[in-house]
Amino acid sequence: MDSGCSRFYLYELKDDGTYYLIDAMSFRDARDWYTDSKRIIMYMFENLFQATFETVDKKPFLVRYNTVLFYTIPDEYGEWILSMKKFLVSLVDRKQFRPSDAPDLSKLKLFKVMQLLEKKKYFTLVRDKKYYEASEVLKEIMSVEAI
Amino acid sequence: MKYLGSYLLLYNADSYRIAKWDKKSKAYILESELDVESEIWEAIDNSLLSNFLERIIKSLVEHLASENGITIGTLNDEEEVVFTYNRFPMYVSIQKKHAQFFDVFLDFVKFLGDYEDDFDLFELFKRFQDAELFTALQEMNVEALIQSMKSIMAVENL
Repeated sequence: MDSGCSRFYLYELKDDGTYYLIDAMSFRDARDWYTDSKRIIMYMFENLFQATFETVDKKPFLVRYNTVLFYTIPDEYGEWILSMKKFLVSLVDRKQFRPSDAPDLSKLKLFKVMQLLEKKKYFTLVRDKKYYEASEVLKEIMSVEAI
Repeated sequence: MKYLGSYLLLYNADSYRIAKWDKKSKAYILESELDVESEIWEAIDNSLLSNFLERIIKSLVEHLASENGITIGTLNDEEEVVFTYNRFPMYVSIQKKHAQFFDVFLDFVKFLGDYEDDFDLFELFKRFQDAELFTALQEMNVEALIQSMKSIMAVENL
C-alpha cells in the first residue's frame, strides 16, 4: 500500500508476480460523503488508521514514487483496511457513493454505530493489533445489520 | 416571571445554559453555561473530539425536547437540526438529573481538553468503550451518561 495526504491505495500481489490495485480511499474526500453527525465516524476511523499505520510492522517497498510512499504490510492489516473501507461506505447516506456490493447501513445513527463497535470490543481489538478479529467484527455488523 | 419547571435548559446560538427557579425571587437564576465555540472548538484541537462533544450536547437537547413534547427543529439535510422554537432563546424544562449531567459534561469537556496534550487515541476509545459511554448515548440514559463520564475522568493515567 502507499499512504500520503490521508489517502491510501491497496495493492495485492497476484500469481503473475504483479501488484494489482484492489482498493483506494481518500479520507479527506470521504468526509464529504457524510452528514455532520456521521462525519465523526469518519474522523474516528481516520484517526485509528493513522495511529495504527505508525505502529504496524511495515517495510518500505519503493520509497517516494510520485511523491507517495509504498510499503508492504501484513495480510491481516490489509484485510482490516478493506473491511474498514467497506464498513464506512456502507454507512454513507447518499447511494451514489456506495458500491453495489456494499451493504446499506445508512439508516444507522451515529451513537448506534458506536454502540455496536463498543459491544464487540472493537477498540480493544484494534489497540491490541488484532486486525483479523477487528475485521470480523466489522463484517459481522455489516451482515447482521444489513438484513 | 412565569414558572416553567425547577430547571430550564436554554439554547441560543450555540450556547447552552442551565437556569434554576428561585422561589424567593420567583425568577430563574443562571447556574452554568457552555459556549460550544469557545469551550469546545477553541479549547480542543482534535476535530474528532470536538465534533463528538458537540454532538452529545445537541443530542441531549433534542432528546429532552422530544421528551417534553416540544418540536425544536426542522430537519434539514436529514441530520442538521435548526433550532427555531419560540424564537430565541429556546428552552426546555428539565429535571435535576439533567442539570447534574450538564455540570459533569462541562467537567468532561475540560478534562478532554487537558488530556489532549498527551493524546492516546486507543486508550481514550477503550476507556469510552469500557465505560459504556456509547451505549449510554444511544439509549440517552442520563444517569448512565453521568456515571460513564465520571468513570472516564476518574482514571488518572489513561
